[in-house]
Amino acid sequence: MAERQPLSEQDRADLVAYLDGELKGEAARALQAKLQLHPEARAEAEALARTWDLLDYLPRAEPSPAFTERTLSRLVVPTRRLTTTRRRPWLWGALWAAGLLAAFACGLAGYNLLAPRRPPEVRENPDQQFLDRLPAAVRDKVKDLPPEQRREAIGQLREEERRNIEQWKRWSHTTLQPAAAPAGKPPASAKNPPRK
Amino acid sequence: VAATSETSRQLALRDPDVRLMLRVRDDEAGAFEELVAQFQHRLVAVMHHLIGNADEAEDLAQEVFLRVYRARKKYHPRCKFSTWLFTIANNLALNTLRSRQRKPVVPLPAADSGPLGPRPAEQLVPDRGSGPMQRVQRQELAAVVRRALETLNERQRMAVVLNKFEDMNYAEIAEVMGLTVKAVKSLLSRARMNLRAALVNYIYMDGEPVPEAPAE
Repeated sequence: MAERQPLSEQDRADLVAYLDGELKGEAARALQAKLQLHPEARAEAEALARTWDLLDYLPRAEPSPAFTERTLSRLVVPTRRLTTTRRRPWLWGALWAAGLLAAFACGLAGYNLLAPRRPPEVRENPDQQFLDRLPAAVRDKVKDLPPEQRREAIGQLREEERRNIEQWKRWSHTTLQPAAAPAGKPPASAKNPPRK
Repeated sequence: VAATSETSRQLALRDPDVRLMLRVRDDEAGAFEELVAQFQHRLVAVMHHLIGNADEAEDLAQEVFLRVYRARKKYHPRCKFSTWLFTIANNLALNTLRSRQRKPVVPLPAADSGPLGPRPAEQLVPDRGSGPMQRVQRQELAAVVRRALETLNERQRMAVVLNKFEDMNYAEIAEVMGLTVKAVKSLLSRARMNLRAALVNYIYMDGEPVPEAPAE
């Protein structure tokens, strides 16, 4: 009787491969010889084969009759989701642009409605604009004049203003030069220029 | 590139499933439906063996088909179509099993196991008598084998299922699982030893003497 030898891990791997038809050539012949010589190896091979056969007791699950239909119906959902995802960046961009445009329009409308505005007679009347620049005491006196005299007074004041400006220019030309001698006195009329 | 293209063409000529998948890739009407109809039985069965729950197996099989459809435009045949299909199934099933390990699901007791759950192994006396008894015994044995399969880790289980129920050889299993052939040989060897240990009380129920267990 052959001597009992425990099977090594490699022997068992070869044995399983042999049972699976995966051991070829010399390795297969060597294992066949070992099986003939060693009853424990034969017993092991028998047990492994029987164990493998027990797996046949596992029931084989079958798909439900509607499997194909349900699988195909699931194809629609990801496609729709993908389409929506692709559309989103464009949609969000458009929404942002529309929002910005609406905010700009609201700002403009609010400014036009709420900003302080001068009455049209002021905006369109240069005499009135000139009067507004004058000191209050002078302005009130001119305003109280009859229209004809008021126009005349305004004309004189404009002329006075023009002369004053000419004097300031001359004074600044002679006095405010970089290398000029000590600054001279400004003209007396320049001390009280019309209010800007 | 030319060699790869030629290999693909030859594979397509040899494997009708590759030709069908190429029709799916080209958006030919009805091709995907044909593909689903053709592979649903194998895929659901494999998923059921791996996951152990019929409803979940069907959901996962559907997800595999959806992934195939989404990846159709990138499909270039480099192997048998079924190998590519089961590679996708393998990735999905392993992810599911690993996620289940992190968040264990409590299985509902089988309806035929009684209020105390599965019966102990010693109650499984072999019975060659009446039909109903044989049926019950068969169902109980199926539950035992199911539990034995669940003692394997997910990679061993996948290798066993592909080898046993898909008749895949070691090279095909290696391709599906991204392993070497040597690693598959080792994986299957350990898996079968574990199954043998788990089922040792059921191997010799026909009265034959049980041989002594091998020394570890």
